[in-house]
Amino acid sequence: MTDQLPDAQRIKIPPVMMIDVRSSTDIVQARNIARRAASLLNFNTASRAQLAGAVASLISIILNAGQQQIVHIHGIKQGGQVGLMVRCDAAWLALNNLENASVALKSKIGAMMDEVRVIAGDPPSIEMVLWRTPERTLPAKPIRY
Amino acid sequence: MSYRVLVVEDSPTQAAQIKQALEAVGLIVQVVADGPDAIREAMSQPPHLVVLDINLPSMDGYQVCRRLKRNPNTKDIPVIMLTEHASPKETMTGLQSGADDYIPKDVFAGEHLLDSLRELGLID
Repeated sequence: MTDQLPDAQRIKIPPVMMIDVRSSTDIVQARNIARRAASLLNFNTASRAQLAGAVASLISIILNAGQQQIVHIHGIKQGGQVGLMVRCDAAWLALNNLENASVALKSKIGAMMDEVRVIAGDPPSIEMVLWRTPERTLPAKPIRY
Repeated sequence: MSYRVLVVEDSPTQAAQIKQALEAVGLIVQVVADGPDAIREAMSQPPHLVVLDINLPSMDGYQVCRRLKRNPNTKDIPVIMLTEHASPKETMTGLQSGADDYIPKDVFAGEHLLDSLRELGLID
């Protein structure tokens, strides 16, 4: 999709949104926020649905770990590429092998996002990126009749 | 111009709700209750949009979508899946079957459906 450049070359751009995850009822709201963010970056409808599904899935993982967490969704620019980044702290992974956690996360969400990473730190964090490619950009499919 | 929408939904209650929502924004709506009828109808009189449920008798929504997208006469008709199945796997199955949007039936479904119609140029 996009050549992996150093993270320093990634610039945070609007929209900048947050989801305060406390219970399973937040999943519906999160899906809505994810779709709105993707819409603001001109992603087509199918990509919005894809991002919303990935965010819902991440939140299910957070809740299953018994966590309450802020999930950040924001635009990202890297060279000429624009995308959406979803990230959150993942304190529950602190005692896990992060490589295994990354593999598990990719098997669950990897098909929906271009990048899914678990980043070491205190606490560790999860980052996912969906890049806006020409196929994912509006207009999705013009009506031709 | 009035656009025609084919709604494929086997629950009469939900079909009536979707029909009402679409007619309220000026669309002409036809409802069918199963997959084979949907394919037949789309072939004989191609609508401008198909709104498709997943759980249908005899053929599920994914199969219906794949058939529509494989057929040269119906492949360009946008398909919106409106469904109770919202897991990542189901979402990806829906999108990979060729759906243009995949909208879970939650409290925001109506709003997202209107957004999608706007993006498709069916409403202002």
